[in-house]
Amino acid sequence: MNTHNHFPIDYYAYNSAIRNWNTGYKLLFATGAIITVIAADSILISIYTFIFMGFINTCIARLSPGEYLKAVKIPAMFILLGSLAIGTGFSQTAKGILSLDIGVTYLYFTKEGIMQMFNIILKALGAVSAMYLVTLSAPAGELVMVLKKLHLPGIFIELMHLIYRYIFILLDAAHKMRNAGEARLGYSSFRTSCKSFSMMLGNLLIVSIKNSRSYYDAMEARCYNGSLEFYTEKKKPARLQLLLMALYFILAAILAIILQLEETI
Amino acid sequence: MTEESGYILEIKNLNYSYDNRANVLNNINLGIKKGEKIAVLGANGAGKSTLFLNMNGVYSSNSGDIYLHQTKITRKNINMLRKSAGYVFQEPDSQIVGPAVFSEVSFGLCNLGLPADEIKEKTIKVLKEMELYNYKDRPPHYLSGGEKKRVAIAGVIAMEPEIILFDEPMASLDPGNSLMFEHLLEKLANEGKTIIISTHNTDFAYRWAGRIIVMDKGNIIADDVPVKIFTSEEILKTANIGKPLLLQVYEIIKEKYGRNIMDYNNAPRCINEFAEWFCQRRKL
Amino acid sequence: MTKKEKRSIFAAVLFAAVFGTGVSASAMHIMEGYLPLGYCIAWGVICIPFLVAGFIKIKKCLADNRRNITLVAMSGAFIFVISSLKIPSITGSCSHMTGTGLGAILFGPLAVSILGIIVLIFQAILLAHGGITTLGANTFSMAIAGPFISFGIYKLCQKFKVNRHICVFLAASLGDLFTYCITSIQLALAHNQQGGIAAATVKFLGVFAPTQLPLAILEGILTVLIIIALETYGTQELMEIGFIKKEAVK
Repeated sequence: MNTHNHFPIDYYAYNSAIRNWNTGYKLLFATGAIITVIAADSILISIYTFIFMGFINTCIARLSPGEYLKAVKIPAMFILLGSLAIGTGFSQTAKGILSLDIGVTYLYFTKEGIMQMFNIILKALGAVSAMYLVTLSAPAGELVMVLKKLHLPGIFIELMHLIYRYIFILLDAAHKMRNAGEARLGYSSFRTSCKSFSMMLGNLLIVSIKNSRSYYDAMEARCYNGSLEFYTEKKKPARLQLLLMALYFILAAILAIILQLEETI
Repeated sequence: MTEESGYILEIKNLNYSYDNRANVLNNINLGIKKGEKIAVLGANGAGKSTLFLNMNGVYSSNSGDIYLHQTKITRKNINMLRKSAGYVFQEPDSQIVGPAVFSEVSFGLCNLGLPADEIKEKTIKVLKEMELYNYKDRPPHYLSGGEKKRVAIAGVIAMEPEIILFDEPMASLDPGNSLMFEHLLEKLANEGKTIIISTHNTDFAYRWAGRIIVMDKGNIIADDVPVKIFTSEEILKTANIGKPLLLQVYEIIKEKYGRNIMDYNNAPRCINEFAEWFCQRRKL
Repeated sequence: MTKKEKRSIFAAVLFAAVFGTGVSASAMHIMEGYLPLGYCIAWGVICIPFLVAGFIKIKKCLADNRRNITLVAMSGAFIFVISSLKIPSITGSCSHMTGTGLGAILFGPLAVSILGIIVLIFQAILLAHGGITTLGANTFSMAIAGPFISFGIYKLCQKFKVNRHICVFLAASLGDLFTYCITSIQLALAHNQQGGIAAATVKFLGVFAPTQLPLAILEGILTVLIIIALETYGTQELMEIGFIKKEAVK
């Protein structure tokens, strides 16, 4: 079963060359970079982050550029539409550098609007590439273990572990049911597709509720007593990795200072 | 009394029902000795899995007692039973909870509250034994069915149980993995583990087991050595069990060419034994 | 227009052309980078009371019976799986349900707030839908506002003795629409430099309408069909999660 077809990101994470890097470090680095991009609100820092993270994700983490681009394209729809709404304005009269008459009002583009659009697109790309530093290289299970160290409530962590595991069990079952439905022409038209699809999900829920009992039995069979524990290896981030992170933030700070100076001059 | 029984696990007058409905297990009495190789046969729904869940301590009986090394199991020491009688579920997917192979195998050890070093050491040992070490960081959803089964077994073996309960272990294994599983059984037996396997595969049960328990509708209807079980038409018919192939062939040959009455004293139990027996007959 | 501006417009168009190919429509997860830090934090804070209430609810459910944890987790996984499967479409485009409406109807809105935030975290990790800093905003629109409206509509319709399937349809599709409206408002609050919040909200509603309106209707229809399937085959299981009362079946 090619489960990795469901979630290429999960699959990349398990095969990443930097998978064994400390997960907490990756999360910290990524979040720090995202905050930097958002707080700086500057095209230059967005581009800088996009390039820096792109370098780590492809050259160090060894994800092929094609696969990386595919991942970067996932939020494209939202980025395009969202930016369009940000960059345009409504007016009773034609104005700006480009106006479209849409009946009731004019839809117009201004220079500032387009620059804003451009800025937000790059900000999104910078931030997303930083997010990918962690999601394309840290398996979800390891991220949950980091959350545990952040002292989130135990039940929450336990639910996350179980949900992550069950997602794949359910998807496997859904996949089989879908094939069975497909074999009986259940997906030959839109109408039958809707019916088969819902039927499959209904069945999936029924089966999973039934199974959830035996899943608990299986945990109890190995002396589970209400708190889910796994052994976790402690990996300290290497000095080189810390240097990489420092490099990012120092360069970002230098860029920010240069920008500040330019503005004051 | 139990003191001199020599049983490591003993079940006395055990009854079990789900939610106070009709009994799934009826007055079960069973004694298990160290190092035994037991196969449990019976149709689907005969109560094999329920019996295992009781023996492992996940289910608690409505009435009757379980003794582990002559100690009565109560709510307080139930984890002793769960640790000593490891249960490998039929579906590895229903058993595996960890996000990666290593954490999955460590799960039971963590529940026992062992120190971290010991957990690590034991987990690594089992992973190597089960030839899973190279997969240690792999998540369960990127494993094949056979690999998942091995992970599930490793998770139980890591806890070093005295008794291992396998619920239809070969149901979804391909021939290669089945063979591997039989090698594993041999190894576990050499280590002195007591092994109890529920199965529909009578050929396997006949070849491997030293003792067979037959269940039907929640009752143990027979508990004896394989030859006795498989030559009793009554038991086979009641529990709806087929006769092992080798035994059938043996009987046909004996019937056709045998000068004397049927005797099962040296009935061959595996192909090698059969070949030897057959060649000897020809010479005679 | 200066040369620099021309160049940037050209770059923007080129970018749009490259990224416009092979995209998929899903629920409106606000992407990483779209909200200023203040908004990220504010939305997160707004979620806290709901999450705490949800957490207490789940904790109580587990205190009643510890064994419920696998059931609760399974429900969460189910919501995720619904949201990750491609739904049938006429045009051949690729879109997904939210699943939170169904979740709210089956498991109640409080439990869904906790399950919802977990699902959103996994959507960000596994599907790159949404992000880390926008988690608060997305949780509010998808795991709190939508489910609460769905649940409210469902209960209200039931009170007025509307046919159950119509209740479910309205609950699921209006819940979806509400999520879409809230997300538009969230974006408008952060980006309204051109003509104020109201105009910005209209703009965001407008650009996402072509994908979100059909999706809401389809979500309603599919949710009804799923409920029908559940009612046909799973009365026992529906009782277990408390969707049907025991007396109702007799």
